[in-house]
Amino acid sequence: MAKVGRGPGDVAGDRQRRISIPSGRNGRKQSFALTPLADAMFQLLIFFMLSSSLAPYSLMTLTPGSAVAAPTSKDEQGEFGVPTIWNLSAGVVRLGITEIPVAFVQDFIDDMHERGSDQVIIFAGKSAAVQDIATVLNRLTVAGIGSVELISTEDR
Amino acid sequence: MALNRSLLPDGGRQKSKADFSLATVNIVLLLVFFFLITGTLVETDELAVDLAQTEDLPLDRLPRPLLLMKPDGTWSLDGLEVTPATLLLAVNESFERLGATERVLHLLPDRTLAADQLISVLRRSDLADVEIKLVTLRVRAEP
Repeated sequence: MAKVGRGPGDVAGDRQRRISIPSGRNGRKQSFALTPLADAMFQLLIFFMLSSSLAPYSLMTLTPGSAVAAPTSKDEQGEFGVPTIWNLSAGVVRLGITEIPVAFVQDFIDDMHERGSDQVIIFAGKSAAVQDIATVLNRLTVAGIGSVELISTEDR
Repeated sequence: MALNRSLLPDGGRQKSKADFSLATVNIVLLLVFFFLITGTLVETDELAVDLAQTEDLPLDRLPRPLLLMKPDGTWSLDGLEVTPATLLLAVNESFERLGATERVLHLLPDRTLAADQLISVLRRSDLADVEIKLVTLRVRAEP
């Protein structure tokens, strides 16, 4: 029985049989796996939840630094009026012999407006705390008081 | 004639499972955006202090550089311990690291801290060219 050899044409025939082009109809539809993406997103979410703060902060300028404002017309003309001197101690502001709680400092500010004064010098006593300064400066900022000077007891 | 559907062959179709992955990713992505936009990354120590409270100032984010002034009198600048002697050096390094165009230092003092300690920082001549801002916590005004 003669051995039949495989010619080049037969090899080409095998290749043709092996190559299969997906028709797109019979094969299963491949879907993109979203689970790893969801895992990564959860990791990011937990990181930002634990490391960030949602507290409502506010900023209050205390010193102007190098960006000192140019003298206003009020400065040049001395229209700030007679400076008002307040003494600040724990929870209390004193103007002359009148003492009021820090929460009611708006009364002093209204009095300043009536007298045409736009300049305050605040002497902070040893018992005064940061909260007292913040409360007073907050009211002065809102009232648009042009000049505020803070002096501690060490400066006296 | 009424047909009993349960007795009919389903034609070999499989019931498709509901895939909630995409919806989950969308919701989580929205939450990530929320925390990115509204939140501020903070050091653990910075959450420990009770900030002074104000009512009328506009809201802002917690900026850098941030000098934390603890009730025990110690300071830390962006999480690194500093002393009054090394403050200026640390502040300048912080400005360089952040690439800050404006020299603004933010103070985060405890509300019970003595006012003298806050004023002592404001009076420093070496910080004369640095704008100093006080960070406060905004509370809702009482009616």
